Amino acid sequence: MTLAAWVLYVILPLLSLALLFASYRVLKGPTIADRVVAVDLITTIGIAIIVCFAIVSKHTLFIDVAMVVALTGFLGTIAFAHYIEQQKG
Amino acid sequence: MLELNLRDTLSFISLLIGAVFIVIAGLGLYRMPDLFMRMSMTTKASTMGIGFIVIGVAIHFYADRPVVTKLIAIAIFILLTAPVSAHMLGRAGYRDALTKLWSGTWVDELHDQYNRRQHTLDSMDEAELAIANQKKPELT
Repeated sequence: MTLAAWVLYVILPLLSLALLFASYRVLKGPTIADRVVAVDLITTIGIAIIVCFAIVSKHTLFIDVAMVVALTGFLGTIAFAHYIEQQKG
Repeated sequence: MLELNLRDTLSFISLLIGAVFIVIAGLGLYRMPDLFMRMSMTTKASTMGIGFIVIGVAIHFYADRPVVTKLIAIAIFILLTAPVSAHMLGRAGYRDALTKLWSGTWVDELHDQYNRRQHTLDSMDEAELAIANQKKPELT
């Protein structure tokens, strides 16, 4: 087995498991803040999956995609936090 | 069984540590009883995990300098932004009147001094209260 196969059969399933836990919290989460925390974690796991998939597919172009996702995910979280703070309590 | 050379082995070990840390972050998000404990788990463990995963991929693509530079940029960016977003979310979550603390929490220093409905502190004087009670522009 090459490294690509090991990543495909070991690392990506582990990351998918973490994605499953985070998705449960997005669906269940009692308040909006819990859901935003879970979406933040999903963005981080997405970056990890994209970066690992660059090894599997041997295309280094995916690294650029991961960089853009990292930039936009931060802005999304900040916007959500601002919106929660401004809403009528 | 492990038909990997030394570089691939190092890369795989680093990726595995990172993936395990991210699974721990997800497990904490799933099991913890309270918003602030969940945030503590996800922020710290996922930053550590993504750092190790980026290091593993950088070991794999070590000959390709632009790619390694981009990976370092991703790691530094996440290292810088994760605390900022966690701080803003924690502040917003504490101000939200719907957020419940876990029943076993015994340090909450603002509990008796902060009005979560009016967003005022007991230590505010008249002028500060007037500013806090000003009507904010409606969000559309």
